[in-house]
Amino acid sequence: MVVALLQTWTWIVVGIMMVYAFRHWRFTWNRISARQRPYYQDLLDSELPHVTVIVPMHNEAQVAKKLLEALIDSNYPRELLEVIPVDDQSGDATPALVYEYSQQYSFIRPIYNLQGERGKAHALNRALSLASNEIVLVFDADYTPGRDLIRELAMAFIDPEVGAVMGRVVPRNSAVNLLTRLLSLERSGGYQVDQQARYNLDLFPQYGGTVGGFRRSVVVEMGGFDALTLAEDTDLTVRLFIDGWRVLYANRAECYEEVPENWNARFTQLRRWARGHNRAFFAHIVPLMRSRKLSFVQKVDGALLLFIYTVPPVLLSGIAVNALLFYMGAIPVVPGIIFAFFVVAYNAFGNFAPVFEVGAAELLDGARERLLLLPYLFYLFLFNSWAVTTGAIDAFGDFVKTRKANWDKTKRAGAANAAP
Amino acid sequence: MLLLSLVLFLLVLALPAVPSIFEVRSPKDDGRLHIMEQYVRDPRWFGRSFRHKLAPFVNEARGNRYGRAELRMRTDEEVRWSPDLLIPPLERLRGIGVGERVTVGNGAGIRDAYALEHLDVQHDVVARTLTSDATMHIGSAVQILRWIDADGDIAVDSDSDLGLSASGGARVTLGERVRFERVWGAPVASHTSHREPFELSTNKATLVDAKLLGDKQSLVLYGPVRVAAGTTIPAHLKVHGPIAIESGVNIGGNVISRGDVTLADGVTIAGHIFAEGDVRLGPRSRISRASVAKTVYATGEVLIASDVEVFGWVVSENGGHTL
Repeated sequence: MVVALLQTWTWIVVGIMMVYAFRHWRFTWNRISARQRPYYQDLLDSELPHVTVIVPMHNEAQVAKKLLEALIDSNYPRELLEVIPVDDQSGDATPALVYEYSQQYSFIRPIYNLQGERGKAHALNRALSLASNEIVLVFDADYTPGRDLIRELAMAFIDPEVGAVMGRVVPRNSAVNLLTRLLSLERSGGYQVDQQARYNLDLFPQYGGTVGGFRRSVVVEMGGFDALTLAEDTDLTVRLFIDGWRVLYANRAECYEEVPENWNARFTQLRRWARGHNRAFFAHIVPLMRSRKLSFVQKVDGALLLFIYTVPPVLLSGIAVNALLFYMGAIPVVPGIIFAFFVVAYNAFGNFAPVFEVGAAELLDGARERLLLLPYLFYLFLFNSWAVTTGAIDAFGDFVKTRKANWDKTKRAGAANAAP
Repeated sequence: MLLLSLVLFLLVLALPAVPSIFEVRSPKDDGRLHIMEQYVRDPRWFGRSFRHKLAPFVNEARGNRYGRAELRMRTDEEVRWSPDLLIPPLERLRGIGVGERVTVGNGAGIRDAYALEHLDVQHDVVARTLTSDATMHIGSAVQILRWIDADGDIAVDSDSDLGLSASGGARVTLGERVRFERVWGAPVASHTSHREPFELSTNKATLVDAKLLGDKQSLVLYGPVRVAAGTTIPAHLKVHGPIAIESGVNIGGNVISRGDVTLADGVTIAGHIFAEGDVRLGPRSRISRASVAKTVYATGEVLIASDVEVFGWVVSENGGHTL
């Protein structure tokens, strides 16, 4: 009985990995061979909308100056722009810095959250209550938007169906060490192939919480951001789709970010993402599948997106069960075509973007020697699985005990202030 | 033997990682991906950049009674200056012709022509770029290899090819069968003999009329859509499929289609047209209005009938032409 259960679980895990492998094959094939769906960045408009840019900040003195300078240097008409830096109980020079800028530039209107609840969702909700404009863009403090980026993102909202837009994130500090180089590969796969393919196929592109934006009225009507979540981006994406809105992906609206430079910071970041993402999975999977405003294919892709941070613990459990079956002498021997299933499942190994997807993305980006690093993604995958499994367990605990998670911010290295 | 097999197995297993080790130890490709952070979309960028490059030369040439000045470019270019510069018919100038007024004769060839006042290009000319600080006339069957830009009006006769980009600070009037990729003008207008409305497909299309519209401002629809003659849509129309718009329709916002967009005749659209297919602008169609720039964008072709006015930019990823 026990052996039969363990063998069934093995097959379920192989089945799940096969579904993800096919999904990523489809994305990669679409990205390299199909006609690419255009975004609205080529539209010029002399009647641009008023835009509010929100920048949540907690101890960002190292990086915030560069972001504010970039926003000041933007070619977006200043009279149409409002920038709200939200100082979220910083213990460093962040409040003084944003105050200094607000004294020089009237379109920079900071908010200081001095006590009480903190976290990104709280910061966004406070800023939303004071924002003057319908179109809201969000940047994390370690990002440096290019001169035309605000216009490119704001153009998404000429489309009456669009609730949110997401641009492409590119690591600025990729050259620092092996981790940053591997994260750069992972980002390329995730954006250049995965997000663009989901946009091409009219599936479920994800609003990523930064280098993106949304309609203020829609988010306010939905009750703002869920203050209990650590993944307000996934949460918003799913809620928008359930309500019949669309999220656009703008592959050419690129922005530099800073990726973690040490393994501890990366572990913390991934654990937080997994915790928040899994909470969104528990909260939204049923409403998603019941939504009448989504096609069947969109529901399936949405479910797979929500489940992505549950896959590592499931996979690790599958490996553990296999090891157990091996020592029990009951491992399923799978000849012929069945063996091919395992090979397909194996293809889903890698990161959130598997190896072949990352390779395709790097080729599209014109990379050469960095392709040689692809074998190292296997080791990153093991690390990711560990971090994500920890986060998934946290999320399960949150769900069962209905406890509130604390926002554990990623520590900055300050690469934004490095010379270009 | 067992040990040897094990060692060989491990070696084969480690083989893919060997080049990786070299790349990690002495990185050759570890730079960040390049983002053009300073890039700003400007339909008249080519003209502005060219003028900026030639400004010192022009100032020097104008102040010099012999009309001589030096121009440093990346490549060696013959530069010809005259207040009234004439490139004689059939002559080939492998360089830049600059003058207050410039005329390029029939059948001539020139790399770059720049007029500080009027630029007149006669028929069958081949040119790389044309620039004018005032008005420009392009004769019939002229072939532009790169771009043209004028601060004032541009008039283009029939059968010309405007290259990658044509931009004018004022009215850009296109004659019959003029080919283009990107045209910017205030407005881009057409003057051809094609005055017949485009035929509209009636295949299983949802009919949008006042009844369907009700009190809605914008519409989002799936499948082919046909907008009934005389309908007014106050704001936007987005369709996951082709859109056919009958005569006299008035749309107060943007028209977005996952397929083709066809305007029959006398259609007025205040906003953008964005089509993941072809765009056909029927006679007397009007996109946007004076002093407001919008865009007509097609991933396919843009076909323009007579007496059309587009205030702003026409972008055709697959090439466009007047009829």
